[in-house]
Amino acid sequence: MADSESPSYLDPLAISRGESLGILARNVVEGYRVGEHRSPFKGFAIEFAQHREYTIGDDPRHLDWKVLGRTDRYYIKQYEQDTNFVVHLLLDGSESMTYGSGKVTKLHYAKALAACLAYLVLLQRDAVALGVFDTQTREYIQRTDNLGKIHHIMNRLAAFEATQQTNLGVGMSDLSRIAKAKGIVIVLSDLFDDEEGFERGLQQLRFSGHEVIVFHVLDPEEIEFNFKGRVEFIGLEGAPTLETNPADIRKTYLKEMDAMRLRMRLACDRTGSHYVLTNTTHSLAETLSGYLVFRHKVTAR
Amino acid sequence: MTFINPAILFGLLAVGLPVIIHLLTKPRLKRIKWAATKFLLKSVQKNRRRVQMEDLLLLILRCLLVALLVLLFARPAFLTDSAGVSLGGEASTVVILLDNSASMGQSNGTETRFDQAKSMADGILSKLGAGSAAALYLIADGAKPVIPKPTQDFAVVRRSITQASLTDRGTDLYPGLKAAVDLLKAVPGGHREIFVLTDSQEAAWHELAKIRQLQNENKKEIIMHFVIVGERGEDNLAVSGLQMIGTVAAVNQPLRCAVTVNNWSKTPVERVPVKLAIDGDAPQDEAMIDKIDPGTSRTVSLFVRFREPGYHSVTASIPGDRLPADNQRSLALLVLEQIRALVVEGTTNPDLSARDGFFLKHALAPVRPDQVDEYPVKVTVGQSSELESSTIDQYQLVFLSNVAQLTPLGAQNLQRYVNSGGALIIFPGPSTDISYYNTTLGALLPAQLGATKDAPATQKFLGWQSHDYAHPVTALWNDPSSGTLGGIRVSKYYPLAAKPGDSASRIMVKYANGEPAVMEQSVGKGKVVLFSSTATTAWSSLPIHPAFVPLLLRIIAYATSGPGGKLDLAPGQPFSFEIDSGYAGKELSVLRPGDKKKRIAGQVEASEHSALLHDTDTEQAGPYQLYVGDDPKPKVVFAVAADATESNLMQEAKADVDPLIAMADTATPQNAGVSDKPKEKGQLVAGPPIWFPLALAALLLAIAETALAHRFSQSK
Repeated sequence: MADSESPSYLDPLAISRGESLGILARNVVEGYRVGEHRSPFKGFAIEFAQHREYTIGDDPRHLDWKVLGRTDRYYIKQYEQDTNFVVHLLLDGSESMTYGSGKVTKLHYAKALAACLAYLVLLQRDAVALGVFDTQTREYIQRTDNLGKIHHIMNRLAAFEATQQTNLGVGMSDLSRIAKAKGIVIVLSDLFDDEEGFERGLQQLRFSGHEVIVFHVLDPEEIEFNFKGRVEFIGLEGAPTLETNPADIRKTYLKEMDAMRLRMRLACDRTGSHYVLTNTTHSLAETLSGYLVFRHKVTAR
Repeated sequence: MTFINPAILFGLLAVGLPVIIHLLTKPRLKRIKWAATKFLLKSVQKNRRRVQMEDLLLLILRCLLVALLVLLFARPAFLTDSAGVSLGGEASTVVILLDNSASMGQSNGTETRFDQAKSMADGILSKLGAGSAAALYLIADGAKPVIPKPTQDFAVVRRSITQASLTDRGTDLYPGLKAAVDLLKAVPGGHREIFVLTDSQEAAWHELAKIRQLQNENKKEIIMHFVIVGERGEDNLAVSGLQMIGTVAAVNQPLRCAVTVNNWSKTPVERVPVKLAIDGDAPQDEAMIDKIDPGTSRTVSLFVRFREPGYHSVTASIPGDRLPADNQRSLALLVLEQIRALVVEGTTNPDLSARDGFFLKHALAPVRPDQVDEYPVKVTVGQSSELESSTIDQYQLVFLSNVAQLTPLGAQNLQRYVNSGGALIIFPGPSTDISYYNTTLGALLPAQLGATKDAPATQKFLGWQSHDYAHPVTALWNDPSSGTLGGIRVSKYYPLAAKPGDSASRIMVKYANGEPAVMEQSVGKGKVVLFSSTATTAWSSLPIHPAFVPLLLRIIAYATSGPGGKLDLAPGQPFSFEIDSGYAGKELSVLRPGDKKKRIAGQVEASEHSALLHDTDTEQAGPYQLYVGDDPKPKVVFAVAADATESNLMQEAKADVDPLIAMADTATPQNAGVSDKPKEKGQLVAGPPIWFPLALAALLLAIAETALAHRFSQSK
């Protein structure tokens, strides 16, 4: 898809607000730039870190000419000092994310949120990586600090269609394996999955030294359950179809839902992660600025 | 437990309605793809039993509500032992026979006998013990079931009693008693009683023997109570007869009517004015009867004159008294513009006075030559060839005098003429070919003509009967003041022999020896009168007898009266009248006696070749005018005359009836229903309907259902 045809996941208002607040690593991140982010590797010289395959938008200055000369392959020579901090966006691409009571589905909202975050991160010259997972990692965009790649990120986001079930644990576990450098992991999911697996994933990420932010993306109907009349609920992700009168079960449902949200919040608290409840009726700007204000206060300490 | 209206229990099928309504009105499903099914499943599983219970509870409540409503309309009642005491009184099954004959309309100045009977019937119901059941019949000359089966719903019985209306019928107690006994026999066991509320006229007991037998056969099981009303106020003056006399009813011709007034009182009545009116207009004639002795009648002649042809009513009236039903009497008749008669002579004679039609011609128009044009009967004298022409249809009457034979065409025309409503009067004579008459014209003749017979040699002449005239045409001469037909003598005649198996022919007058002298019968729509002797003085003195003219006029009136007696009915007798088929389907309206405006009574019924005016509501005496479509003139008028015996309000027959009443354990309304008869246990009858608790339960159920449905519809 040409860049000019990229879907506009970027919310101008969200970007402008986010830009002013910036993404600040709550913890110490591994960054080579002196200034905005403190690096844990003080006194180290520039060290080679790894090679990675060249992708469109990479600066050709970092091409490893020796490797190119020997193997005729395009590899980027990466150094620890290349990254300021890396934000890993982990997007839940399961079928349950396709639900939306209004025009916006949870997946669409999460994609937009991910795009905005990526843009903000790239805008402040930090690196961003994006993984979309369901039962396994379906899409993975290597980390990049090139703002020009934002369109590429959006195209990949737009092209993705959710069809499978979720396995949060696998997605987070894969990421903890792939992302060697410490950074910020932002999970965008409705968390309708095995709760233990999710907590295990959180623990793994935290153990790897990542800061984890969980955007719990929910539709307003999932939060308030205000259906009228008789409704046939067609279960997504292989769940059974259920015909009921929502008024009959509303209180019980809300109780169950609140309990789940509480459990998720507690799991996040236990692992030192941020839990952000995200209602898809709220504008991206509201969600993003709300969280960034909170984050700003925390990092200011 | 039993039900007063058990048929309504079929409505219990409606209990399935809530289920059907639920199935039919199942709300349209919204289909939603849902992510958080896990929590939904948990919630449904937790709530399923409660929701099912709530739905079931609501369904049961709704079905119960429907069932209760059906039960409520079926009027359930507890079975009670009718022989026992359910609420402090004795329960009985009773049949109330309420006399609504014309005599019950007699008033004592404040209320009629019928009103008294109604009050007494109400009193009887009040005295009946709890758990009693009552049926109601109106009895006059028959029994009309109003509440045909005993019910404990006395409100319905009382309402029916209040709404009961009088008729102008006669009285006969037996049919009502028989119906009541048959009804009570069908009720198994228990205390059964019949209450007869009547004014006990003599006529009511004319089947006394049968009533006694009925009472004797059932006295062990059924008690009869005769409650007599109207023991005072028996004086009554009644118009007991109204007859058209003499001439025919024609436009602008005076019509003489005989009005008979009966004095049923115990004292003489003086100066009774009698008035005669047509079509409910102002009286045209009035006469004063100076005195009528008790138990006798006086007849006066009054005249009316009609301005227009057609059907009219004539009403005779006397001043009002306490029984209004018989203060007037009506008859209906057809008034003709003019009457055309054809006299066919069998022979011709230069001597006019010796011609066969000479006497007929002059008797049919018995006026001076200068008055002939004004006289309604127009006479034409001719030969048998006249019958071959189609002009025969313009005549209302055809006389055959001494005609030997007719031509085949003439005979054919004559038969068609009679069938279509013409009148044929045959005077045989010396020339008459009796074999031709008996064969070719046999279908028309009311009797067969025998060979000529001479009067008994000892008497030279054979006279006509001098009294006991049964036929309406000759009934006038039963009154000696009208003269007698006994002076008519014949020297020779053709014996008239009734045709075997023929029941339509009637003897109009006989000879003194009992043989028929004149016979008549209806053929098709017409009438045929057959004399046995001549219309000339050859064999008979009839043409020169004073009764010849009135007899001919009465025959003319009878033969041209159209439907004749069909226009005068007894109360309750249905009226039916044929008119052109073109009127079929049009609106039929009736102006009934006492009504100021005509009322729609349905449509003119279509018949095979014609249309029928039909009216069955003829309970009230008086003239009835039937209108078709928008025609302002009545298509036909008929009259209903009350039973004359109803005017006799005397209860002199009590002496004969008393033993029966005594034997039947006479009861008064005051002690009715508290018989000392030993109680018989075991019969179960329906008690008072238990509607209130059911209605209360239905109301509570409805409230509970509404409240629960509201509560269950709230979010949980």
